[in-house]
Amino acid sequence: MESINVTKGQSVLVLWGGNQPTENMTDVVNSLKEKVGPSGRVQLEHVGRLNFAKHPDSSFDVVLSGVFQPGVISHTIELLGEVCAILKIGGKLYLREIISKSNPTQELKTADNLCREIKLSGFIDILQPSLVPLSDDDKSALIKSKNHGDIDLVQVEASKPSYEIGSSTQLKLNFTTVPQAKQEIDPQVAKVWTLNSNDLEDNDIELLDSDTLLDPEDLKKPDPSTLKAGCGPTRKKACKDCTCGLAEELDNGDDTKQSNLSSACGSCYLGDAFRCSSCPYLGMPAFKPGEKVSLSQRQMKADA
Amino acid sequence: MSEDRKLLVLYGSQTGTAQDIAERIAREAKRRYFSAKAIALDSFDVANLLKESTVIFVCATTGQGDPPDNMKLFWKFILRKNLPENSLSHMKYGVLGLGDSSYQKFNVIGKKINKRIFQLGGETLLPIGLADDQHELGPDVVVDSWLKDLWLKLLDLFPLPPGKQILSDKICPPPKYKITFSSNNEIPHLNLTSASPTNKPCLEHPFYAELISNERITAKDHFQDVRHIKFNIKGSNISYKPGDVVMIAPQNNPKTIDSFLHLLGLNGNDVFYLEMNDPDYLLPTTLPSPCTIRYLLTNYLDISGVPRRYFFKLLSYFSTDEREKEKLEELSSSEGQQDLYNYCNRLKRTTLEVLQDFPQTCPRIPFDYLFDLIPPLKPRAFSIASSQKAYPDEIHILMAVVEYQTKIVEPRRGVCSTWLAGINTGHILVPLWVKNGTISFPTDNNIPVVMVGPGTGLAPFRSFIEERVQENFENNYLFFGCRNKNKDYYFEKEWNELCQKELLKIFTAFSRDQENKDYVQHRLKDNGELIWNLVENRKAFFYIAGNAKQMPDNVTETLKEVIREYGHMNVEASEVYIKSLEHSRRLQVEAWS
Repeated sequence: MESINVTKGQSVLVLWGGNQPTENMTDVVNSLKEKVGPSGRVQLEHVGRLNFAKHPDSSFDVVLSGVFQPGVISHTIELLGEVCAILKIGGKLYLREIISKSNPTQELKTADNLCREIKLSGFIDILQPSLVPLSDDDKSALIKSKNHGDIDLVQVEASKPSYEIGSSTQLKLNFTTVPQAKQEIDPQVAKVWTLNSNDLEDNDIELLDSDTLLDPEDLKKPDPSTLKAGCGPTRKKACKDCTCGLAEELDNGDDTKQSNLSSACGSCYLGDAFRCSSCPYLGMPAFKPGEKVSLSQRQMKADA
Repeated sequence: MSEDRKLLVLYGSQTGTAQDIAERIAREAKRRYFSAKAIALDSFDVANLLKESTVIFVCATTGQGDPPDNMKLFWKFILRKNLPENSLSHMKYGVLGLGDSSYQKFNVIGKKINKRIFQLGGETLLPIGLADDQHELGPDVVVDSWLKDLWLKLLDLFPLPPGKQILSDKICPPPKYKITFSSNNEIPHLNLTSASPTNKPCLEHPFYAELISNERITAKDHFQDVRHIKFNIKGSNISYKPGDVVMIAPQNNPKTIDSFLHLLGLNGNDVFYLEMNDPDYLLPTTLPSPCTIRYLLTNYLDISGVPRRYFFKLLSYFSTDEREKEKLEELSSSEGQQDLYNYCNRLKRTTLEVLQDFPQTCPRIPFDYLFDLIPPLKPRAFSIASSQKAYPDEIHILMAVVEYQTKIVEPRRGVCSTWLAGINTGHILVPLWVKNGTISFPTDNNIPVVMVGPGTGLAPFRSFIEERVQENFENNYLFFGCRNKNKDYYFEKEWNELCQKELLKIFTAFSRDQENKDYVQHRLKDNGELIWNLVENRKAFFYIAGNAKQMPDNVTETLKEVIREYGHMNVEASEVYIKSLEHSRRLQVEAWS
C-alpha cells in the first residue's frame, strides 16, 4: 500500500469485488481515512454496484480497484471507462489484477493487454505494471481457481488526462439518444477549414510533427508467428484436369519428384489462368484451334 | 434512403489495394442500404469533411512510413496546427491501415490518421485495423475480420430499414451508369474541350498541346530509350515554376483497342449515351456524351492496367462457362489471393490479357458494366524539365520509355510513355495541364542550391538551373549520375557551357564506365567539406530527385555521414540536424517509381 499516493483532503473511492468484505478491508480503509484527514472522503463501493451508484462525473481524486483480495476483479474496458469518467481530471487509478505471464486466456489478460485496455479507456501516464508478491497459499489457490499455472499479480498506476478529452459536453452530445441529430457546424471551425482548404499547396503553414502522434506501442511490429496461415507452405498448383502427374504428386504430399512430366493434361491450350504452374507454355496467350505452337529460346530455359 | 444512413469511405492508395478495399466497403454498405461512396483522399474537398457524420479511412503506408501519393495533400492539411480541436466532433470514424511488417515503419500512416482524427474530436467506431501484407494469406485476414466488426457496429447504430435484409453477394449489383445506344449511327463530333483562354487548364479541360520535338537523348545502342519532349503551350494560359509537374492524359494503343473490341464483339463506331444510375456515382467529367465506343477505349478505360480482385468477382457473375466461372470465383475468393497475385500482379498482366484467357465469358459482359469492371486511365505526372523564363511557350519533359520483360512473352510497356514516344510532331495533340509539385525552390537567388538528380531525376533541376542562369545567378551545384558518359549523360553540352560561364558546378558519376560502380553519393562524399560548408554556413537548400529505389535513402545517408564528419556530430545529433533541415524545407526529396 506504500506505493499508493493519497494526500490530505482527497476523495478516494475503493472498489472491491467478490462475495464478502474481508478483514483487511477495514484496515486499508482506516489507513486511507487517516491519510485524507477530516476534509477528505473515503468511499467503498462493490464493483458490481458501480453502475447503479451513479457517481457524478469527475468526483474522485483517487480510485483503488481490486487491491484487497487478489483476483476478484477483472477490469473490462467498460469498467475502466466508468472509472475514468468519475475521476477528476488528473485523478489517479491504482488497480491490481491477476494476469497471465504467457498467453492470454478467456479469463486472464497479459500485462500488455491490460495496459492497452487501460489506455483505450482514456487513461494516460500508465506506469509499467509492478509485481505484487503473493503468498504461496494465495498463489496456489489462484492457480486452482483460474485454472492456469503461469500467473502473476500486478499493480498498475494510471492517470486521467489533465484535460477533458474532447471536452465533456461533447461526450454527452455523442451519447444522446436522438439518432444523428444534425449538429450545427461551428462557423469558426468551418471558416478555418475553408480557408485552409483553399490553399492546400501553401507550404508555410506550420504542421504537426506527425511522429508525435505515435506512442512507443505504435512502433511495435506484429509477432511473425501471428502471420501464419496455419497450413503448410504454398505449393505448386496442378491445373483442373491434370494428367501430367502433378496433381497426384500433390495428393501424395510429394512435390519434389518431377519425373514423367508430360503435357497431355489438355489445359495447355488454355490461357495462363488454367495452366499448371509447371506448364511450358506459361506466358503465352491461349492457343487458337489448329495453331502450331513453338516455344521460344527463353521459355526452353529452366528457371534459374 | 434516409439522410443519416450515409457512409463516406476515403482512401489513400499507392498500389490500388486500398482503393480496392475502399470500394469494397462502399459496395458492402450499399448491400446494407447505406448511401456510400469511396473517394481518394486528395479527390475529396477536405472542407466538406465537416459535414460528414460517418467516415471510414482506408490508408496504405508506403516506403519509409510515407503516405500514398493520392493522399499527400490531405496529409499536409490534416497535420496543420491551426485546425481547431473540436473540428470533427460531429464525426464517427474508423481507420483501416494497410501495411507491410517487413518495413521498419509498419502501418504508421493509418495509426497517425487514427490519432489525428481523434485529436480533432472524432469519435472512434472501432479500434484501428492493421492489415499486413506479410501475413501468409495477405491483408484480407485482417480486413475481413475488421469489416465484420465494422458492419456489426454500423448496423447497431443504423439498423436496416424495416423489412429489409442484407443483399447477398451472390446477386450482381446494378451497374454504376445506364447506357443507351444511339439509333442513328452518326459519329458525333467529339469536341476537344480545351480550357477557355481565361481559365487554367485542368483534368476536365486540358490544353491540347502540339509536340515541338520528340528526341531520343540516349545513344542508339543504349538499353534505355529516354526522350526529351517539348510541348508547345502557346495560348494555353499555363504558367509554371521550377518544381511543378505536368499532367498528361495518355491514350491506349490502337492494337490493344482492336483486340478488346474483337474479344467483346463490340463495334468501335457505335454511339452511346451515359446516364446516372445511382446518385453516389457521378458521371465521369472527362467523357463526352454522346460518345463512341472507340473513344471510350482510347481515352477513358484503363484496359492495359492490371485488373484487381473485384474485376474477377464481377466477371464471374456474367460467366456461364463452368470452367471459366469456377476459375473466376476462385481468383476472387479470399483463398485465391495468392494465386491472383501470381497470375496478375507479379507479372503485370493486363486487363486485356486476362480477358483473353476467358474467351467464353467475354461476349457475355454487358456493356454497361465496363465502367464497373475497368477503372479509368489515370493521368501521368512528369517533372517539368524547362524554365518558363527560358522558354515562355514550351514545356519540356524527360521521359524514359517503359518497356520490360516478365514471364509473359509479350513485353510490358508503359501506356503513356509508349504512346508519347510514338507521336511525331504535329498530327496528334496531347491533353495536358500543370500541377504544383511537391518540391519548391528558394526565391532568394543568392542562396546556394545543391541538387542531386541522377537519371531522369535531373528534370526539375534543369528547370531551376535554367531559371536562375537567365539572370546570371550562380550558386548552383548539380550532382548527376548515369550509366555511361557517352550514352545517357543528358544535356551534357548545356552543362558544359554553364560551367564555363561559372554559373554551375557539376559533379558527375558514371556507374558503368569503370569497374567499380560509381554513384552520386560517392561524389557527395568526395565533396563533403564543400557540402557541409554550403549547408551549414551558407544555408544552402538541398534537393534529391529521381526514380531509383535506393537512391534517395543512400544519398540521405551519405549526407548524414558528411554532417557527422565535418560538423563533428554523433549519430543522434546528425539525425536532429537532418530533421531540422527537412522542417525548414531546406532538404526536399521528390522520388517516383
